[in-house]
Amino acid sequence: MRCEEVRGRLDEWVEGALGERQKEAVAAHLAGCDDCRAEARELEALLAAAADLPREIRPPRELWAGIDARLGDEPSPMVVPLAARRGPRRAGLPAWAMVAAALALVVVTAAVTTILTRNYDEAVALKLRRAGESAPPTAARDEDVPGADEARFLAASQELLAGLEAQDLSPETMEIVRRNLEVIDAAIAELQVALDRDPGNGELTRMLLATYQRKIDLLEQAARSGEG
Amino acid sequence: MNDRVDSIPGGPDVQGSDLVRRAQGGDRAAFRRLYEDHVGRVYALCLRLTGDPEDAMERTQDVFVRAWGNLGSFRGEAAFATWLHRLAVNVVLTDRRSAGRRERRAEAAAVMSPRYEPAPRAGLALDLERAIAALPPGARAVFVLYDVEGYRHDEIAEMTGIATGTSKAQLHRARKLLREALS
Amino acid sequence: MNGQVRFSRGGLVALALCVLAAVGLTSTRSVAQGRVERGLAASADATIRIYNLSGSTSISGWDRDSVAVVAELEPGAGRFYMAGHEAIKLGVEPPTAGTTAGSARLEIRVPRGSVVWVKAADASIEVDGVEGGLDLYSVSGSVRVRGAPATVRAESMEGAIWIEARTPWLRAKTASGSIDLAGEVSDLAATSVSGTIRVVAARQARARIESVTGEVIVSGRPTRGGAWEIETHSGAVTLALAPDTDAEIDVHTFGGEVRSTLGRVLNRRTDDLAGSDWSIMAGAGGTSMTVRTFKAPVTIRPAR
Ligand SMILES: [Zn+2]
Repeated sequence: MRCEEVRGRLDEWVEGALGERQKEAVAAHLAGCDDCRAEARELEALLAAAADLPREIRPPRELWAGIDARLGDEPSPMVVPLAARRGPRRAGLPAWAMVAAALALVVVTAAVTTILTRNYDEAVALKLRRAGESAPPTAARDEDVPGADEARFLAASQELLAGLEAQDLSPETMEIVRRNLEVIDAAIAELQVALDRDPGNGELTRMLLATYQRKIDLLEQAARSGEG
Repeated sequence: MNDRVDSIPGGPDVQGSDLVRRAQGGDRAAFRRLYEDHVGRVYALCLRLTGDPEDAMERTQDVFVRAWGNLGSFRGEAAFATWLHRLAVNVVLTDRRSAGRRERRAEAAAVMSPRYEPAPRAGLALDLERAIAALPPGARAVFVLYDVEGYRHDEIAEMTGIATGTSKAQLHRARKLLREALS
Repeated sequence: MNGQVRFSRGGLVALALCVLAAVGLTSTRSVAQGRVERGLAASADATIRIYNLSGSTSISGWDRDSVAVVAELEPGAGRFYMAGHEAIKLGVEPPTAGTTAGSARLEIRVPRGSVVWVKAADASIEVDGVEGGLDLYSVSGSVRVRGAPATVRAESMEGAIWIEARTPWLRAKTASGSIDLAGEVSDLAATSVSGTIRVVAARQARARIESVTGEVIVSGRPTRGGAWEIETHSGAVTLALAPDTDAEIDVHTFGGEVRSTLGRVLNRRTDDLAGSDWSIMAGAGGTSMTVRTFKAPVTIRPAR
């Protein structure tokens, strides 16, 4: 074995990870080569020092306060012990809370419907504008497709919203739906603005439709959660 | 201090697991006890992986915040220390914020080096800590995980997303650079 | 009816009578509580529908043609029920429909080949070693799956979804919970609104990941030949791939920043209105990865 080859194997040698024959070959070389032997010693010393490094080092500053401030009220809901869930989940809610929840649902639904309707009107206006500006109706067929999709999405969302309203979802579920609808609606609004600046952009139109799809998905998911 | 944590590498720790259960139920005081018990270990790991005390302190906080959020996924198959340790590796190595932050710090460090001044300890250990901090990030991570923390190459591959072959190559490179730095 | 009860296969009449008796017996008690142990013969590919709103439901597959349940019910949780043979329904019926005043912990063994459907409100769902199809729905509870199911559909509005499985088909959906996926999945889709999605790339032939504001992190090494599509509105996308990944990565973003330290940038175009397009070649290519964002940053880097 030549020096180069031995050096390439020293990592495994010091860990005792070489096969019998290679181990013997390396040992034989080390016995007769001062340079490689020094190299092996250095490596062993390094590994011993690494293994001896302290496992614990106290941070130079107190960190707990910063952590405490960022903790939520409860850890993740995965294995909340039975005891923590004691008490009525819904049945015991006071009447005013149920009324408030119902009202919130109506408000949310109305807001969503308004946004959807406004978007729809804008989309239609946009399409008319585009059709009038640039191309004869036959050539505008490609643009009709996303428009038609959008109308379909709108119809579907409205149907779903109506369905949700009729369902007796828990206030907790409604709160989750509300928060996420806000997120989606904000995204839709941004896409609308971008699309206004660049009406011909097919990619933006596609993204807008994909975001509508998220909304439908969310509403469907919420609806499923209410089914027995 | 060292002994206590080292003495429970994988085995059950009755008092600790009681604390974990209480923390899982939302008991912050219990979680604080867990923090006190484990912060030294987590900080040491973060410090060596980042090579930067400020970054390491931030990471350490992130680790405990994340631990609180993920306590539900701790099932007690491994010791809490082991679970937390893996979480720490994950937080430091996969959090996308680290990269930018590290680069910014590297720039600052270039101006005000030495960037990492460990607490005074025995000579060789001190030099070694400095040399580790100066390693390129990939080699540093593998060296710390393999030679300091004792993970295997396949575990490192799993935690960091690199191939086991890459892990071995990085280890070889790190050891070589360290020997050069220390000789 | 406490204790293990076994029915011979095919003794359907006897079975039905026993089930009726069991239901009758338990329903005469006003509040069922404490520990209930039940067994029931089932076909090897039974369809099992499980309802448990609050608490936890843990299901594991075994090599027997029967279903065994250990249920721990808090006072107010409701009544435990179980009936059927090829189509089995079991769970906890709350005192008033859709509400519960206590939680239940169910540990259920099912034939390995069962098709399992689970519905929960804030209960966690955990499935291990079931090889039929899985349909798992929770509102705010977490969903965990391990094993090699034929298909997986996992949904939680707010709970974390965690799946490590070998399966040809997987759909995971959440509003604000996180999704963590690993294992060998041929056809994968993960969708969230605001929750983080983390996927360990491996042998996916097709993967589609979508979020609105949720962060997307893909790590690991995608096997050559796969097609990945990742789309977010404002959720940051990170591809932290094995340095020896072979992939063509196409990025399009309207307003996000793109950074890549993996492979070679073949083409890079930025336009005020149309946004940026990047084409990146990692290794020899062979896996197609497409990332689109409206305004989220996209980072492509070798895994450290
Ligand atoms: Zn030699």
